[in-house]
Amino acid sequence: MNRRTFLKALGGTGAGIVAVIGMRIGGFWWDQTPATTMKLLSGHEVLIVQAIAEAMFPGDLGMPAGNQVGLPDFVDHYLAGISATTANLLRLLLHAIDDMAIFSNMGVTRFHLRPLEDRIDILSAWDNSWLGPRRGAFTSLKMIFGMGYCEHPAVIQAAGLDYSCVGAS
Amino acid sequence: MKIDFSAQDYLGGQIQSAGTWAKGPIDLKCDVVIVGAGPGGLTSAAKLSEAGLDVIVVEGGSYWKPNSFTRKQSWALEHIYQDAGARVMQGNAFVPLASGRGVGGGTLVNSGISFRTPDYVLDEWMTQWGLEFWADRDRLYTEVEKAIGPEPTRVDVAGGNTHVAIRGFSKMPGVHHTYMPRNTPGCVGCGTCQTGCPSSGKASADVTWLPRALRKGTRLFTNTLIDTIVTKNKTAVGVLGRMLDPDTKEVVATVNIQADRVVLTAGAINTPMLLQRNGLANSSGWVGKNLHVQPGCGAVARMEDEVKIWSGASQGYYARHPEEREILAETFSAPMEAFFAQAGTVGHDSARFMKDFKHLAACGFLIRDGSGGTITAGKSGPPVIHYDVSRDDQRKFKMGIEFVTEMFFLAGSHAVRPLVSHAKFFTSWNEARQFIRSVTDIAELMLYASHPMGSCRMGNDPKTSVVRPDGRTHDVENLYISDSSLHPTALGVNPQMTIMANSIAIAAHIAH
Repeated sequence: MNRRTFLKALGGTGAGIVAVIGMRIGGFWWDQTPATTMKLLSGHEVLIVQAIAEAMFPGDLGMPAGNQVGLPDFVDHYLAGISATTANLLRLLLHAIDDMAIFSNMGVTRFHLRPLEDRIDILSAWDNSWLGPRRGAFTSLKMIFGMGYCEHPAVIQAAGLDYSCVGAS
Repeated sequence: MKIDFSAQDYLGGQIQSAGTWAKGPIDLKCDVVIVGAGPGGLTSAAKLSEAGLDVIVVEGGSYWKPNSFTRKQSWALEHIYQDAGARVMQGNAFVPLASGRGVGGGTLVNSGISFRTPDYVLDEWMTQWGLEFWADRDRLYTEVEKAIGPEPTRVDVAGGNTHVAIRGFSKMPGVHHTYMPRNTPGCVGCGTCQTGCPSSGKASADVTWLPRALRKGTRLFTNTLIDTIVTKNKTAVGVLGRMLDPDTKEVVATVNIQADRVVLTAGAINTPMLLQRNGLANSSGWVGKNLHVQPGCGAVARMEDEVKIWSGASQGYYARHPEEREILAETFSAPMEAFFAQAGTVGHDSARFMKDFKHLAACGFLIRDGSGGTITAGKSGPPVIHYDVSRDDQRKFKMGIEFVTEMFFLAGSHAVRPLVSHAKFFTSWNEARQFIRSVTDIAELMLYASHPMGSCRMGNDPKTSVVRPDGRTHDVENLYISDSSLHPTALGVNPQMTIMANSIAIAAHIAH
């Protein structure tokens, strides 16, 4: 996915997002220094990832919460391993989720500062958007967070999965 | 058949990687240099070296010894998928496109599905595109089958997901359905072919064709990207590239291989990219056009009993649509995160989805697409892939979704979710059918695609094709293509056997 397509994907969500992206591309996030122990994610991005992780997987029914299984480290490692272009677009998506929350529900507060239930509502809106490209972009993020979460031993155990091969002796 | 693990013995000798190569430029001469070590490249290498030619294969990805793979999707995406699994087609829908990377190419990550392409497709290739060699299809396919050993999926490794499909399809009159033919003689049913076979039970190209090629002297350079096809007087004479450290991406060695013949087998995305970046073989204007894929969709269902979709053959069963021959249903398994991304709900319900995962069954389908896409290479980085789903293909998709959704209700599920945005787990077939028929926007379908093909079409007319029926490009002498880019149309079935059969035919032309 190239930048133009990605911006198109986020388009239709109003001038606000365009302004936010313009501001971000303008240099605010692009060159931020990675946080300590991170290869790519800045300290601010770590906060966004933690906030998304907890909202995506709040940890009901005995499942671990998303922010208990090291998702910032996972997301950082994953983004560092893919092409810089794609990684930057996904980082841009993190910022878009964070900044667009300012315009939702008259909250005037960024996503990572919102209460849990607000954050779940916001992520659900991305997940169920009627704008296909916006939904598709979020699905990519959901897959990445899902990998980090579902591959964690504590999650596998809590879900009661015995990853076995049917014909293995 | 017995899987041949002997290629690993050549590591550091005939197989060189960034980790084994003693520093210094790679400066070599040979009869044939092959760019790409997927099914086309390794079949070509085996056949050409067995014909007595001196062959060098270069591959951008890594060589993986047996037992290298686990269930981890994240590891697999990073190491054995093109563009780390981030390849996407843009158009009137958002379609992820998966392709394998590394020695073995797509056969590292496929489910071993081994179909011959239907006769009506190959007949069309002969009559419309002049591919006369497909008259000899039985000999070509028989040779492939002898090399890779496809067999119907064994009942003992079929798994719970297959049993659900058997129950459902058995109640659908006129539906042909049976165990999937796969080249997986050592399968123990781990349900995770797409992350690389963790039990080394799949007869992928690196454990079939590669050992044959190595025994006849083929040399293989992994972690090696080719940037330039060298030509003189409209004749290919070699390639230039770089061997890169796969972790740091630093250049380990420059590569200069002079060869009498250059064979491109980098797959239907990378081969046209290489030609476009070199400005070669495109007098027809068709390089990078006519992209076909195998787009698919499907449905998932909650069953009363545990299915344990991860335990059993990844794709153990198939069924043909009774009215539309271009729809092929195939059971599939995938890691929990893939199902969550498509059918799970963020927030509090995510836990319920995961707790119920052991009860989940899945069946997909692929269509023979009539749509076409384009690949446009920039100066560097991933290509732009444009693909619009045609109106007729949209019709097939809706038929396919109905087909597999109904199957699950007949199999006894009371909660079936078509892979369509804004769908839910429906409790009745009527309700589900009504929903599916109400979908009007193709972007609502959760599509995925694999098996890109057709982007350097083979044919006898230089105005409408890139490659001649003997594998040579129309424009550049001694430059051949021998991968899925050649297919003039989509196949309607999984392509590995056809790619290999094509390569056998082209290798015969090169050798003689």
